[in-house]
Amino acid sequence: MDFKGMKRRDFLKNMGVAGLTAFVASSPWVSAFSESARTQKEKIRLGIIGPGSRGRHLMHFLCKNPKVEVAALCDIYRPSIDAALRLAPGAKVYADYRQLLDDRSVDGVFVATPLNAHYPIVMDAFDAGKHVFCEKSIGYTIEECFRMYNKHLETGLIFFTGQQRLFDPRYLKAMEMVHAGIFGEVNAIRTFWNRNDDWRRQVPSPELERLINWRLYRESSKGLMTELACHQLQIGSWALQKIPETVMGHGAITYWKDGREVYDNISCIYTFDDGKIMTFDSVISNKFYGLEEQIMGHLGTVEPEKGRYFFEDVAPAPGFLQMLNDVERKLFDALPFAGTSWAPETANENRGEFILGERPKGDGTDLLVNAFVEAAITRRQPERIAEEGYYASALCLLGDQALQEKRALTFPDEFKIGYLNHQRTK
Amino acid sequence: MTVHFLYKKLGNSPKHLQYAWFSAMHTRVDMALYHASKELLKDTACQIYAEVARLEQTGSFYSAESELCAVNRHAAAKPVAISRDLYRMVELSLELHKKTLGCFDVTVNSGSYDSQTIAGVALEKEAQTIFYRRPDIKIDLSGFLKGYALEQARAILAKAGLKDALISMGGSSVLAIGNHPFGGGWKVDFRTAKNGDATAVRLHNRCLSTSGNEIPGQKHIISPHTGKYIEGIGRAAVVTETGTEGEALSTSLCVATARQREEILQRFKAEQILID
Repeated sequence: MDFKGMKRRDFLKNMGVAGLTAFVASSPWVSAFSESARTQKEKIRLGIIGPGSRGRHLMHFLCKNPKVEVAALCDIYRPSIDAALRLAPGAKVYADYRQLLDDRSVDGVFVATPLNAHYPIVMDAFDAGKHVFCEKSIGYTIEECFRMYNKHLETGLIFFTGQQRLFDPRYLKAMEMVHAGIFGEVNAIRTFWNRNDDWRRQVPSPELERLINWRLYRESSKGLMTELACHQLQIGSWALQKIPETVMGHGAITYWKDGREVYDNISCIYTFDDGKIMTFDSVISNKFYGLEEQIMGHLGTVEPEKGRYFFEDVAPAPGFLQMLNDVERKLFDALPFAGTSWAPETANENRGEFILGERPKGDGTDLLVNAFVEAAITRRQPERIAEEGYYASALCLLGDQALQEKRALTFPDEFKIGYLNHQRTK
Repeated sequence: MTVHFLYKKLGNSPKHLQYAWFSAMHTRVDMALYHASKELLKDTACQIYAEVARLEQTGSFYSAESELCAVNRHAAAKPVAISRDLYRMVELSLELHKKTLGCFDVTVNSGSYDSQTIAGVALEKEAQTIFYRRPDIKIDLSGFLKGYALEQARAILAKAGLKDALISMGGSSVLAIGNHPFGGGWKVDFRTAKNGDATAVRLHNRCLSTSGNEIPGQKHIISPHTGKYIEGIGRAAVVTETGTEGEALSTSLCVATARQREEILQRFKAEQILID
């Protein structure tokens, strides 16, 4: 690990996309880019199923990638198709996703429909031989997620989920530091996502309410758990390299009593087999603390969303951290620390250091999307990415179930996929 | 827990490099040690921490509860019996005052200070007491304590059988014994105040001490010649055999005249790294 990199302003500039592979030890899926130079002249044809606001956000990056032709679009809502055609004017439009899947010239699909529609589309897409990028949460139930994951294994086709933090340079660097033990033993991860709005989209006419505001209705969404928790819970397994065993919590509609069916106020506690804790809280009637995943070690705290880290009373000295780095590579270098005496008054206030030496830019979505393109071209599924995606979805769904049933739940053995500590016991 | 630790295994060797750090003496202390036994490393670092904390209780000029402060309050009235460490520190300071031609003077913070003030400090070896012959004497060991602590740390390391270590007290007092895991001695870098260039020095069983008014608005070295804060000189850095010599020497070079500097350096057989 390059500790000098923690403060180097030109970190990202020097890194480039291929340079991401420096993180392969702690985040093996970045190996997706290892052949990106060799695939320069390749081109794949992709279809977008559900080019709504999220789908078009993904398209925005795909359309900039010279290795991609967005060849097909499918949506049941015409304004979405019209907006998507402005991004990819040459794309063929399908009214039924099955027809799009029948198009043999399409290599892979992006599925960005409402949650309840993911499962049939993804299963059919695998059956049609397409590589699949599915937005999170991938399934409406854990069983759906489990079947989708197994289908990916059976077909050998590429399977990515919309967990963009997996490619966010802030998170990649933060996890490398966490795994190197810089913040000591991590005993708790506190995640929260707070907003102060009704989470509604404008509806042009009343019959479109459930179609456009699908996030607010149980038949099509599990609300804050499937839309927000999914991103944050994944941070726990990434940081601790472990999957939680149990979850309990409480959820209710306490403020936005406007006919919605999903909770606007949620608190969940996930526990690991060694008693460590990960929490998820979401309130959408107060935005003061915003969103964050606080990774709490006994030596320090990382807040990857803000892109900062903090140490408890005395931070380790960068010069000595550099030495730890050097000895790993058997290097003998000078330690930059000597000078007139260090005094607390001359040290910075504990306002934290930027993980990448600068304010965060981008959130990894572009890299995630482009990593999928690389994987689809090389037909090589990067290690662990489908598994991370599976558990992100399974955990948020298990949490929702705990809220609905108002009881503590243990992760079902039959849905363990033999990842990390989740080996099947039978 | 007051001492923090990080470890790195040294390649295929059974040894671990331990980085330990803590705050004490109004600064930070960082150390690198390596050995096969993590327990030994941890235990040694904790012993060094305890020793540094104890010396701070003994010799701090600023903490009202320290032994030194009690001496400064009472030693002008009657001889005060003091601990072995405090006695040794004052005794060494007096020796170093002579050796530095009066440039290193632990009494510069006394009221109505003059170059004769230090002569008013009387140590009685048999009884292990100290007496101030003038009423306004105040001993300040701030420029000396870290060097003394490094020597105590050296003894703890030797007792533990650790032959390789790097200890930095706030970056200004550094003890390097033995070797880096992958090289001869230990290389330490510091930025010169003026042009920002890095200067590296390789230390092998040596101490590096830096004194100076590097931080604008934070002058703290008083010249025994004038009784006033020194101006002009940014820093003086020296490499010596012991930490105590290093502290006295680097402070002295900041206040010495050019001629005195030459003579003092000769007396210490020390290497002057920079004066800027």
